[in-house]
Amino acid sequence: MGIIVNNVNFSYPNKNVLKNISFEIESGDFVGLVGSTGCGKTTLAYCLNGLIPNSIKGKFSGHVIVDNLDTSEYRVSEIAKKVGLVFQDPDWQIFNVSVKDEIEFGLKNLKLDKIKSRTKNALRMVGLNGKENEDPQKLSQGQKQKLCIASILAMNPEIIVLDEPTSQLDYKNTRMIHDILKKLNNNGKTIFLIEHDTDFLAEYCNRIFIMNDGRIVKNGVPRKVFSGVNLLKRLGIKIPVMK
Amino acid sequence: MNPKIKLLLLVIFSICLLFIKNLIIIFLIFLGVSINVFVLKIHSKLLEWIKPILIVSVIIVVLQTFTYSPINFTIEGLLFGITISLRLIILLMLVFAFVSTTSTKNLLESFSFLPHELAMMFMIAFRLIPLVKDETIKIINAQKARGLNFRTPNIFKSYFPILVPLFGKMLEGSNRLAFAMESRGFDKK
Repeated sequence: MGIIVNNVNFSYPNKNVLKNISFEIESGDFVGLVGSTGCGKTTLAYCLNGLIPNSIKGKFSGHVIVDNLDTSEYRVSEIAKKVGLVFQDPDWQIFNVSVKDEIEFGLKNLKLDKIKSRTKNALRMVGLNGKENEDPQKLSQGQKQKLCIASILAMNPEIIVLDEPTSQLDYKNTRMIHDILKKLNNNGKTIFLIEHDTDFLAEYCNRIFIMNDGRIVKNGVPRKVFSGVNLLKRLGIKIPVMK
Repeated sequence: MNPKIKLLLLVIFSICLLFIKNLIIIFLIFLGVSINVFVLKIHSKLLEWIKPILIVSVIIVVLQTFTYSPINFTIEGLLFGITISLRLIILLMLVFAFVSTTSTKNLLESFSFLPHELAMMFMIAFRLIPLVKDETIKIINAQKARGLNFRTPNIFKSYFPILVPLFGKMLEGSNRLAFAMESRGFDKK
């Protein structure tokens, strides 16, 4: 199961955010998206799980097809079973009183079965096992982000979209999150990661998209994409060390 | 104790308190609640919390004393003022005892009898209080670092640079929270 993005345009009343975006993501891909701040990366992520056009209003055209479903024709809750979205700031995602409740929130909304075992497995995968009854607000920032990932993992979507999940984390926690993502990809999950750490993207992604001013300006395997040093310099993207 | 029963008792007791007019009974209740507060070892925190209310209570007593019968000192007015003030103080002591002895988790569970959406609204509002507090402190410090003076007589001028970014941040954050909830299947339709 992959994603087909076909000729997508999106604009707010006074700003054109996405311009003619088309690409395909295949099942099992690990895709990295880089680009300068404000170029439309988060907006593109919102398109992938149907928040655009279903919940965020603006002028939308084109098609985003997930597992043969056009996201504009289905509710976000339907698409959520297939595409999980992890946001940047965990403080604005977590609101339940215990780690367990936080994970069960999505499962109950989607009326999924085996809630206990799903919760346990998701927590184990991110290394938070044993913290089921803890107050999420008392977790460290890294643990909170892991909890956000676990709450998506429990819903078992085939595709996981992450919007700069390590932007507020220190190096150690960033590595931990990256390790979890590698493990998930090795287990067959399709990962779409918006990230500024080009070293990590160069090492683990099999495809890289570079975005600028609402367009995908380069798309391909890391070695090819990151060899365009002039483009990277012009867009202010860190040139990664290629191994 | 079950948080729902605790909340129910608090509500019943508060309503009953409004109907008791005998000052001696009210005073006895005040003594009983005070003993409980000491037993629970929350008296020092309570004293900090209740200070502004004590000032309000004194104002109530003085006003009632001199306005019960127009512009005259009356014993009836004094007693009535004390009755109202004691009621107010007991009520606050009870709420404080309830909040202090109930964990956030249990506190939120006590709202679970409400319709799902309403309970969720209360829960989110409670959970976001520390976050709002942290954001406020961050903004205050940032504005202080840029020379904002809080000692100007114009309160509007000194607090405007805090309230504007705070509201902006809260609106943006609540929007993001709504998206995150929807992405986890919370369907508003």
